[in-house]
Parts: sequence; C-alpha cells; structure tokens
Amino acid sequence: MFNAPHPPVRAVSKLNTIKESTASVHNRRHEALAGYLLILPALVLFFGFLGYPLAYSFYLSLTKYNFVYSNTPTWIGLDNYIKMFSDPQFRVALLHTGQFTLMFLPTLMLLGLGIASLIQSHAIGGKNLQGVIFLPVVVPLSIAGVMFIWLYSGNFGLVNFLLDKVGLGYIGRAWLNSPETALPAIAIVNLWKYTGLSIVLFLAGLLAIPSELYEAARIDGANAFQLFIYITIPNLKETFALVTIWGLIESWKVFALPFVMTRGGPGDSTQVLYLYIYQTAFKYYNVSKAAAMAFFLSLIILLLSLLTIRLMKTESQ
Amino acid sequence: MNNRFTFTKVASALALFAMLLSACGSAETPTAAVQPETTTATATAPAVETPASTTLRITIDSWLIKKWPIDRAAQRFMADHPEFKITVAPNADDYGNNWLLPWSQGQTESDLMCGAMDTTISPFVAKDLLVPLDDMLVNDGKINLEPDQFVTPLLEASKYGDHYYAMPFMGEVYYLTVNTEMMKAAGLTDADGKPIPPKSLNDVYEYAKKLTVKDATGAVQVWGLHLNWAWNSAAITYMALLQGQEGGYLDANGAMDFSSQAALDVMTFARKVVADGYASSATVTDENADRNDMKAGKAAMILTFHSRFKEAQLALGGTDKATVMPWPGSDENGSNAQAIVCVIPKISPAIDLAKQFIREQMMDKDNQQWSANQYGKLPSLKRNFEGLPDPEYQMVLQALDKSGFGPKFVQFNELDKLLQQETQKYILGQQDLNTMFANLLAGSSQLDLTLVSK
Repeated sequence: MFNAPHPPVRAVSKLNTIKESTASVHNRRHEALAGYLLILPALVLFFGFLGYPLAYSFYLSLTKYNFVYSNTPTWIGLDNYIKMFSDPQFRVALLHTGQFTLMFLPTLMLLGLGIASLIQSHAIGGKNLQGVIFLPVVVPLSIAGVMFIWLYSGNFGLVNFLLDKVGLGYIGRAWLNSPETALPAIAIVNLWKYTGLSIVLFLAGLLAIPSELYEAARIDGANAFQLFIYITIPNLKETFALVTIWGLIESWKVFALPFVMTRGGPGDSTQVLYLYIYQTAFKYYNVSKAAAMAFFLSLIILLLSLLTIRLMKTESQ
Repeated sequence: MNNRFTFTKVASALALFAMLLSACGSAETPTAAVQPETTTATATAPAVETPASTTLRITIDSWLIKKWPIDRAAQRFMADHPEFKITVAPNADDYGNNWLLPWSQGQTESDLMCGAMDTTISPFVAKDLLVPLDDMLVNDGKINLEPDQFVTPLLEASKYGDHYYAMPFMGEVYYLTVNTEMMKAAGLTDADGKPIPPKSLNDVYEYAKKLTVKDATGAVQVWGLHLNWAWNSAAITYMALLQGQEGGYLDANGAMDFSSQAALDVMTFARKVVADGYASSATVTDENADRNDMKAGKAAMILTFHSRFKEAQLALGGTDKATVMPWPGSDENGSNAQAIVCVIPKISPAIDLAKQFIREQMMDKDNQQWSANQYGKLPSLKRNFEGLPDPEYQMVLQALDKSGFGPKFVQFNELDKLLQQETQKYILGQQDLNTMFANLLAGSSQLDLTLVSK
C-alpha cells in the first residue's frame, strides 16, 4: 500500500527556517529603516547646514558675483582660481600665512614636547603648574589679543618694562607697530594660547609609552638622549601627526588675532589669508572671489594634512 | 511589539525634530501688534504694502547708546504718543553691514538704524534697500527740516542722485585737539593764553618739535603730534590734510588726488615729522593711540575727530586743559566731516513711525545739545548750535560747513584699504614717497571709482 508520505521532517524544518528567515529579514528591514530614520535628523542638519552651503559656495567660487553690485552670479569657471594668483594682495596674504605657519608650528611642537617631557620626568610639575600652563587655552582669543596689545605697547607695555628691568631696554619698541616684529608678535600670542593644549596631547602620548621599553633599553645601555630618540620619538608618531595637523589648521586659518590686534597692518605686514578672505567677502562684497580663496585655503590645509599622515605612515613602515 | 515601540520612539523623535526646525524659521508677521494701514503709499513706501506697526525697533551703534540720549528720547516719544512702543538695541556691527544680507532677503529686526555710516550707506543705496527721505526735508509748521537748516556736508553726504537716503543727527569734523598747558609751556599761546593756530605745515612741524618731550635717554615722554593712520582713519586723515591744503581731495577726473603738489607736501610732512621723532606712529595698529595719549598727558596735539577735545578736558581735569584749533588751511578750506545718521529699511513695517521719531526726537535741540555738552558731538541742525556754552563749537561749525566727506565710489572700501596700507608703509619708512604714490595710482586705477547710484 502506498502510504501517503508524511511531510519529511527536513522539509518542515526548512519551511520553518524560511518563515523565520522571512521574519528575520522583515525585522532587519524594520531595524534598518528605524536606523535610517534615526540618523535622518543628523543627515538633514548635515546637508542643510554644511553640505548645501559648501556646495553653494563652491558654485559661487566658479562665478563672478559681487553681493552688492551684481544682480546674479555669472558663470566664469575657474577664473577666480586662476586670477587670484595675479592679485598682489592675495600673494602677500599667502606669503604671510606661510611665514606665520613656519613661526608657529615648529615652535608649538618644540614647546609642547619639551614642556610635556619635563612634566613627565617631574623636572617641573605639580598640578597647579599644569593648570596654569593650560589656562590660556580657555581664554577667548579676541580677549587675548586685546590683552597683548597693551603688553606690547611701546609707551607703557609690560614687555618693554620687563626688558628695561633686565637691562635690555634698548631693544624695546612698539612691537605691533614695527613691520618686522608685528607678525612674530602675533605668533607669540598664538603660541601662548595653544601651547597648553599641545602639552596635554604630548603628555598623553608620553604616558602611553610602556615603561618596559625604557627599562629594556636602559639594560642595553641606552643613555637619556638615545632613549628620547629611539624610544620616545618613534612612539609619539600618532601624537606628532595629531599636533601637526591641528597646528597646521590653526596657523593657516589664523584670523582673530590679526583682526583684533593689527587689522593686517602696519602696512600689509600682518595681512593673512583668512583676514583677506573676510575683507573680500564682507567689506568688498566680492563673495565669489572670497569663496574661491576659501576653497584654495581648504585645499592647502587638506594637502598638508594628507602629506603629514603619509609621512608618518612611511616612517612607520 | 518591539518594532512598534521602536517606530513610536523614532516617530516621536522626528516629530520633535520637525517642531525644532519649524521653530528655527523666521516669523513672517511683525512681532509688534499691527494696526490697519494708516498712511498713503508714497514714493518712499515699499512696493508691497504691509500693515503699519505700532512698535518702532531702533538699532544703534553701541558707542552711540552712551553718547546719544537714545533711551531718554524713546521714553519721551512714548510719553508723547502712548499708542506706540519703542525698543532700542545695539547694532552688531558699527557700520551696519550686518543688515545688508537680511534686508536684501526681506527680513529685518530694525526699523530705524542709526550709526556712523554717512557714505558707508553706499551699498545699501546700490541695493535699493533704503527709504528715500526727501519728503522729510520740509517745514511742517512745527519742525523745520528744510535742507538749508542742516550743516551742509552732513546732509549732502547722504545724497545719491536727487535723493537723500539718511538723516544726520550728529556730526564730527577732523580738527586739531591740543593740550592747552603744554602749548602755554612751549610759548605757543597768545596774550590771553589761547593757543596760536599754526599757519603752515612748517609751523606744525616746529610746534611738534617744541612740544615733544624726551627723557635723558632720548625716549619720548610726550609726543608733539599724532596723525591718525589707523585702519579706519588713514583715508580720513589723508582727505582732511588735502582738504585743508587745497580745499578738496579729488583730482580733475574726480579720482582721489595722488599726484598734486599739495598731496606731495602733506605726505612729505607726515613722514618727516615721524622720522624726526616729533610725531607718533602708534595709530598704525592702535586706532585709539592718539586719544589715549592725549588723555594720559602724553600727546600735545592730535589731528582727529574734534570731539576728542571734550574727552581730553574730562580726563585732564578741566575745560581749560584742552581745546581745538584749526589745522593749517582748515579754517578756510574745511576739513573732513563725518555724519552720524539714521536710515530706514524699505522692508520696515514702521516707516512712517520711524520718520516721526527722527523728526521729533533725533532732530530735537535738547537731545542734540545733550550730546554736544556731554561728549563734544556736533548738532546736525545749524540752529541747534545756539546756546552751546563751549566757545569751540562756533569755530568748529565754520570749518565743518566747508568740509568734504567720504567719496561715494563703488569700490571706496578697497581704496580705503589701499590708502591705509600704502600710507602706513610710507610713514614707517618701508617705502619712499614716489613708490607710495606710484602704488596708490596703480592700485586705484584697478578700482571702479564711479559714483554709487541706485
């Protein structure tokens, strides 16, 4: 007799698996949808407040458009990007920004690493001192600028007073009024402001280096200099990369201090790129040229940051 | 169940987000209570009629809140007209530039903007954002605001084509403020103890030389002279010097004069007096260095806005401690005037109310004289000079009435920056006279120096 076969157990199991799988897919879709919906506000904010303005300003950079004196933007392609290099003001601002970076960044690294090393080795220290070193970081940049205007004053500035007290009064001057010293004077204020943060970063990097490495090297006869060169420096690569990229960004986008302290003067000796971009956009209303310069500045920062990362990677390999 | 719960959470979050976004949007209706249109549309009214507001939102340069009795004026106006409400807030930017974008997009939180703007209203005029105020310049039987009632350059500064776009309520003029006691000690006063005005640039040089005090090491204790070459003053100083010298600062083509003998003379003088150590160059980076030095007794003469004499009197301890005197030629040719003005945006729902406030309060003699007596600021109406106690005002008024004001070039801001950079380099000895003028001519030739029009 031919018995109708029972549904095979395997088939039932498969059917259940399919049902479960379908439910699972359904659940996953729901979860995915919920996930997308949850990030939707962030996406809307991102595209609304960052993506769209960026795209629009890039479009503007490809047009000729004066906010006051043009009716509508006129497409000119890459003209703004090409012509900016024939603008002497732009070239001066670019040069000064580069000079500022060269004054600021290496000194920031040296001071940050040097002071962090001294703190780690307990040569200097105490939580109070660390607090004092970090204090300028929380002072608003514009207030720091106003404060240093008075410190740098030729007539009654503290800098000249102190120089006089230590017998160096003859080098005293109105530091911001001299085209030779104005930009370095601003770089010093920037260092005063940001060194504390670089110290914290370097200190964190130093504390993360395993002490066994130093002990092993000491057993092998390494002196303090060799420890620093062969243990400390290689183990701080990530910190160096971080501080370099952050320092590059801070120095290339320097604006508040020259704006508050000198307005680009005396002459054009502290005219930097960001200040020129601001003037072009908000004093001359030439928003398309300003946008092109701003994208150029971003490109410089991006390229220098990528170069830093690549150099660090190459070193690691 | 779980999914439903998740969706409920997500939906709630999105609803909250949507409410947040909608709260970020701007309200289309005015915040003030509205009343039916009470005024007829005129040439000054916006194209689309909006209900007139009973609230007037005044924004004013922050420095003016102290130096002009705006709060008192608002209180008086509300007492006279209880049906209206006045609010006063500081402008975020001293030249009102921050209003350009919102006004051009049809949004405003200001119905009446007041500040040191005079010809810096050019971009607003070019974008057709301001209400022409020609219809205010009449005698309505109570208050006479006909053009001849105003100090001429203060009103003319706001004239573009045939229309006036701003109402001046206060004025300044570049003039010499001097420390009277220092002048006396240097033998530069007459028998009555009044400072003797210098007649030529050579005289000013000799004055500065006599007035400069140095210590045993050669360090300057008192500067004989300050000329202001700051970012916001270099162009004004240049124009004032030229105006005094030859009665104007434009060449035959209507461009800034960078080639006349007078231009060469004034800049040669300006460099020499700094190079020889009788004038300070501190203003190149500190725009207030001159007035601070004057108030601290560290400067004997400063060429800047005349009202600094009042600050100096207050700081130095008496009305006999500081006074004004003309720069060579400025008593005959005038100097550089600055108008402090009010403008009304076309998109304001309170245009007529703003005009009424200007007429009744900003032109009021009591208010204008308060500012003169307290801070040395000049009235904009000639008749409001009557009764001012300080003898300096009549002298200053004469110079002011002959003075020029900033040019209404399309690219004046660029020219302003060029002047600042090139004059500063020259004053500090970074370049010679010929290079400076060559750079100024070359730079200005690249700019659009046609006059702004609507």
